[in-house]
Amino acid sequence: MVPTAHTKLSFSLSPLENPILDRLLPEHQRKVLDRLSTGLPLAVTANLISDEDYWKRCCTERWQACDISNYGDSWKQMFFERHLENILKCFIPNTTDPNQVLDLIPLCKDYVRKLEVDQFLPPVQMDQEERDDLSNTGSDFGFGEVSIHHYDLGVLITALPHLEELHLTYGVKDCGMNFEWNLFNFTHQDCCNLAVAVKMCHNLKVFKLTRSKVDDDKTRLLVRNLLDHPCLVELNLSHNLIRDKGAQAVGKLINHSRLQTLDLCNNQIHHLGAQALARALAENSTLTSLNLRLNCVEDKGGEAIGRALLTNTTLKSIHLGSNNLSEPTAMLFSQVLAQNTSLMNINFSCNHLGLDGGKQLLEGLADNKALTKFNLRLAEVGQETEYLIHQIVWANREEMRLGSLQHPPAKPI
Amino acid sequence: MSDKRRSRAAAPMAAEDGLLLLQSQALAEEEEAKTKGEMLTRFLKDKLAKEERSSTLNLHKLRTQWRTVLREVKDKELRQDIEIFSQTFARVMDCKDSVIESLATDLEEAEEQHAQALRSHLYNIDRLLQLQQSRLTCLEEGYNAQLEALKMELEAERRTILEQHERESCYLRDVALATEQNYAKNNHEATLNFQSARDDIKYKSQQEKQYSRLQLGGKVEVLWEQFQRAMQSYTEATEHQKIAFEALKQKDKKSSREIEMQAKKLQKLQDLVTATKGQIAAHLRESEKQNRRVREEKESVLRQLQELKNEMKQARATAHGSLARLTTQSSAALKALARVVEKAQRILRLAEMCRKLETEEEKVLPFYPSSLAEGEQQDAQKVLEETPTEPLAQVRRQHRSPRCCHSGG
Repeated sequence: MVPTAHTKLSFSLSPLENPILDRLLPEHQRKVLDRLSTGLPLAVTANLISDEDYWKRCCTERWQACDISNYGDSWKQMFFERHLENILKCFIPNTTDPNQVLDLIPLCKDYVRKLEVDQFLPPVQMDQEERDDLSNTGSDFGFGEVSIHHYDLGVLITALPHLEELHLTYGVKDCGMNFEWNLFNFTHQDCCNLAVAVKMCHNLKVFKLTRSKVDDDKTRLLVRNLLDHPCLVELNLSHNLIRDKGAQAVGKLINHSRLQTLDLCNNQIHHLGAQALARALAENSTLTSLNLRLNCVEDKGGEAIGRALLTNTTLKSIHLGSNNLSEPTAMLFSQVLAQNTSLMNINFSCNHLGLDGGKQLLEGLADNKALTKFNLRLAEVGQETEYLIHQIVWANREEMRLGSLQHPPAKPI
Repeated sequence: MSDKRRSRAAAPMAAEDGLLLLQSQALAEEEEAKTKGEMLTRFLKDKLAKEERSSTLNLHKLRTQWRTVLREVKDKELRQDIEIFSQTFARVMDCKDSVIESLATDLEEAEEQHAQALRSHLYNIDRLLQLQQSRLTCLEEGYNAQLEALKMELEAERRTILEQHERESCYLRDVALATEQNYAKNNHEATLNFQSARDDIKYKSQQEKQYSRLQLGGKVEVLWEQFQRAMQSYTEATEHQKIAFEALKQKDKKSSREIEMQAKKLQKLQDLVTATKGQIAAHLRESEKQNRRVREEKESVLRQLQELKNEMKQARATAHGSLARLTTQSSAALKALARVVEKAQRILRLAEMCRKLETEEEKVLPFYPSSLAEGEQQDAQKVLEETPTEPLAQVRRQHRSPRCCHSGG
């Protein structure tokens, strides 16, 4: 019975018409699945086989490091997501056949929930001699202006109904000696395409666009298209070139969406941008985590954010490390610590708060029961102050832990 | 005379005047010459100075003119050099400007690259931190789970132990109750027995007591009488001895006191004895020392005596010897002298005899120079001159030398 079923399966190349696998008995199913070759074409296996062991075999054969906790604990999901990511990473616009991607869509659209594409290849340049000729003639217009845009994700994204997370980086990895600056161009057209695609994706919860040289204009374009998005919960625009105008746009977005996590670290936001974000923050009630690490908000920005936190009651975690903050910010935040009861995690590392700033924060923290993490590394607050602050914070953490332990029913002693 | 004198005076006066005039003229001429010479020298000096001044002035003039000429030439050269330098400087400035621009572009490029690398690095670090965090939370959860599991186990164990403890304590309580009851019962029986036995024994003992009291009372009386009698006899017997004892005691006291005194005296005498012994010993030692010293002195003196005696002996011997020699020699000398005296006496007698037979010539010249011949004179001279070898001469010589020694020593 079993060999015959197996041979039938291996001989029939279109089991879509003969879906006999489900009709087999469980133990026979098991045996058939264990013997199935992982080299079978996806067109055959994608929608037919949903057994995790088969997909586990496929994954471990193809890739070395497999951690399914990142992929929703499903081997099948991991396989399809990574497969699609690989295709997108190696896609060269104007050279690779777009049908390669489009053909895959019907096979994987039910299983892809997250896409992490950290490489987008630019179109291949013209030959060396032609390029030299053009440069010799001194022509200035971009000879590849039309062809320097990366792959347009619009078609793909709109076709994936379950897509919830999108992590993109417009760059090229492993350039080696072939490094050129034009490999890292996130063009305006790309941004437009992406913005449109993201707007169409109604299930998108997490959108991360990092290390792609996104500047103010592109940010505004993206924000315009993300306003009032029904689902977006996390936005990560870190390691870009966003300045004050971009930050103002993002500030507007905070209050017109359901954003809970915002990450703008390693940009170039100065105090104007920070003030705009603070204004948005003061009236906001959805944002729980704000990361402004490695910007340049300085004391003016820091004070603005502090004042916003006096009225905000939902923000739980704020990261203001490496922002050139100093004493005035610390003074304001001591007031925040005395009043605010929702902030649980503050990070002031790598600023110049100074000994007096540290003492102010300590005073403000005296009655605070909500703060459980306070990072003051390299903030120059002095060892004593840091120690005392940490004592209070640890006490808060302990109480919280004990509080959480008491929720289960007490055991008879 | 006065004219002569006057003329003579005048002549010399005129001569003198003339001389004076000449001298003064010469002096004046000399002075003139001197002044002339001085004027000349002054004139010449002035001239020299003037010449010098004019020469320096001319020299200066020449120099300035020469300098202007040279300056013009130098001026031209310098202007050329300046032009060349300004051109080269302009060129170098341009080079440096271009270098600075290229460096600025390089710097921008490098900064961009650095920013790019920093972004990727930060991204990677963040991912690593997330991984670490998740790992830590996993570990913490595992730890908590294990802790919970351990807690549950321990709770279960605790409960079982408590139950067992309960059971066993109940059992023990029952057993204790039973034993207590048994014990109470036994105790009660035993006390009853004991009480009855006690009563019996009491009654018995009372009876015995009375009986024995009676018996012992009688015995006691008998014994008391015996004892009284014995005591009386004893006291009588020992009266005498008591008295003697008392006397002896007194004697003993006295004798002991005497013994003490005697002992003290003895002690003092002994001390004296030891003291005197010590003194004796000291004296002995001193006397010993003195004896030794005296003996040593005696011995030294004896030695000196011996030495002196020896010296004396030697001196005596020498003196004896010399004396002997002296006597022999003196006797020899005496004998010789006696012979000589005899000879002389003979000669004198002969002389006397001859005087009578003398001539007149011989009275005047008694002695003719010599009767000897030439050769005989020479021989006589030789004989006179040679050292005497006769014994008397030797003795004389000997006497002379010791005499010298004696006179010397």
